[in-house]
Amino acid sequence: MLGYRAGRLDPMIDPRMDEAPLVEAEGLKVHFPIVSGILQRRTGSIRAVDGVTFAIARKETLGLVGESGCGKSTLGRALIRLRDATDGHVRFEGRELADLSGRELRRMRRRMQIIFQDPFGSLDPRMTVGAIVAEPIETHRLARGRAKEERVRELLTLVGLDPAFTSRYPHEFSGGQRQRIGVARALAVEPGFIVCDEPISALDISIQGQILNLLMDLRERLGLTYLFISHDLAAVRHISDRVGVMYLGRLVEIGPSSAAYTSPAHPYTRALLSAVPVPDPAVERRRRRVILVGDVPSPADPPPGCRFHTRCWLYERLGRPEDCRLVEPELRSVNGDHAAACHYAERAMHSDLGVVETALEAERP
Amino acid sequence: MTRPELVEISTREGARLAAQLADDADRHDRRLLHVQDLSTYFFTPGGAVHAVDEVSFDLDYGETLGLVGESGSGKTVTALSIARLVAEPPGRIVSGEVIFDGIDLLRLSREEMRLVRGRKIGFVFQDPMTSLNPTLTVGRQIGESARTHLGLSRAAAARHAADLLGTVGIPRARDRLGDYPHQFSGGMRQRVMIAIALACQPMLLIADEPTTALDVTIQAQIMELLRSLSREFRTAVILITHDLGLAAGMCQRVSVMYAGRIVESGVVDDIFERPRMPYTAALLDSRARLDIEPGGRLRTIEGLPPDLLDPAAECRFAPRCPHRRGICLEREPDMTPRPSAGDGHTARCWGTEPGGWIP
Repeated sequence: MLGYRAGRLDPMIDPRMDEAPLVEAEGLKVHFPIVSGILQRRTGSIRAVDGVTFAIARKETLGLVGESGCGKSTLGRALIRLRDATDGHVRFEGRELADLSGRELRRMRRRMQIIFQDPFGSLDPRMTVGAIVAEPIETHRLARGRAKEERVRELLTLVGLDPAFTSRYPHEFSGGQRQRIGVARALAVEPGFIVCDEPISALDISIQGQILNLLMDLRERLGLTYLFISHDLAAVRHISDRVGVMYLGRLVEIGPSSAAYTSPAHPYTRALLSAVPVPDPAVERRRRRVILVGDVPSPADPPPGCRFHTRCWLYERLGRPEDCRLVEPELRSVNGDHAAACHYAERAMHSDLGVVETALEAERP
Repeated sequence: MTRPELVEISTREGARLAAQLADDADRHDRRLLHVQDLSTYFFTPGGAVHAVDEVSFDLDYGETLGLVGESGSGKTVTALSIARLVAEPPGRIVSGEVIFDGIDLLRLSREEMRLVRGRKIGFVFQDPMTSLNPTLTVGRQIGESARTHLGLSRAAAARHAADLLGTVGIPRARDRLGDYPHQFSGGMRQRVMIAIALACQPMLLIADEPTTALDVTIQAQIMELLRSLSREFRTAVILITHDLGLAAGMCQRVSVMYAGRIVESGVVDDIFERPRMPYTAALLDSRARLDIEPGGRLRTIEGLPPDLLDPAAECRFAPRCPHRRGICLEREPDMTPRPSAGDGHTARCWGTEPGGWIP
């Protein structure tokens, strides 16, 4: 077994220098070819993830936010090698995932799992709940016979389901319960790292809280590390130690949740935050919004320079500085481990746009 | 009170239209919409599903009302019932009144109803791709209802369509009239839907989860558009949403639905500051919010909504309610007034009635 290979990560993106990170991405790119014509010639590529570097510490939860098509799901899949990287590195416990042999990769897969958004599409309707949860245990030969059945019941209990449910089928369950089954299946192999890909987006509001609570409880009890991908910025802040913001395949901001939400250093983060509705009419009336103009450009042909400049309010406010159009900004520290990829991050930080004041608790009986 | 014109109309047709609109709006202290005890059931082999059960509410001219609830609460069926768009069978409006601008819509013939729908009620649905016709240009789709209902000429309808596309914020509107729906992005398609809905200057716009399929920055654009259009043209809006935040920012009044019933109604500030129905409070607390410091567990609502096949006589939220007492399981409470800052705050809860046990 290889020891931890020291990465060339910038210290600011490396969360806890005293400890080796569990997961690292370095210059990670995932491109999808665009083929066209009868010859199926490659005419371009979708640059879903286009040069992303960060690390996740053991027992840390990193939230990943961004709009559809920003590459956050592709990034999550690449971290556990459900997608192969086009370029760059992904390391798990210091080992390069791309270098692993088939057998090594299978063994590594026990350590990393994924929970999907759609609790309806991700469970085989012809399998009983018991069989669904037992499948990874069998695949990885972790237990057999009575011990396996016992383990399945234990897992169902762990995620808050009645262990007597093993012989039922997915359609007999509600969306929230199905998501619990998905969590139980992910936990079956005792992973250390779980990619949660929009785990609450398909659920009703009253159920979303249950699943968030469950994920937080399990993290506590089992010492799990999460990459929590969601477009729900409030949910991400609730569960994450740090948060990364993606735009058009790039990580544009990363930092401790408290810093990223109270003093965002990228104009896009501010725009995103200001677009999130807050269930308080008084706050809604008071707040100043940045309404972004236009749509997200195509990831097949991102704008030159800073990819956000075509929609950026700060760019307009600063009189359209040339460097935004010409030079792609790199992630750089604005304050300790809080980093942003913006030439004018300091100006963005000193705006008050987008930030929502927080009360400590709802003043309600 | 006169209704401003929807778009800058310089044509003769436009002048006639504007006069007619001013005329239409010359109604005094009457409500635009009065819904009383509306019930819509779906008849299945297993029995009648009470999708909407004795729902009552009012809407003023130019007002924006939020109809808030989770999936299956009956908010969409309520809206479809108002417009008489419930698929029949299996659905049927079994009782109630829907008085729209002085007319009981439930008594109109199919043909009359079609005219009201096209002319006075506009719709925006969640998924613009399924409600737009993929084989017709957007110019044609926008212009068509203006030609049918307003009697505009082909040329006038085209001008009208271009104006509308511009109004809803589509760049180079005139050049895009000949484009088909698939040539627009999701957010732009929803703008096209709004242009179609507004083509005949309706008095009421029903927006059913209009931004649920869209990204949050695009949602903000669409909401800003709806807000400014309803203000500018005094179009009343029923915003159907599961997102309490959207309702907080958009609506003057909110009605919360649960299991086919309206369970709480009132001015938006009352509903959010002092909810008088435990379900509303739970809904507000079960989601992470940007305006509340994170940390700790979210409050959750255990259990599931009841089966609406012959619902029991108890309060429908009682099985999941942390405050329930014996009476809640015996009899369902009525919607009764609650003293609040704003007018007309009502709730369906024994515990918050005067002398009740919920503070």
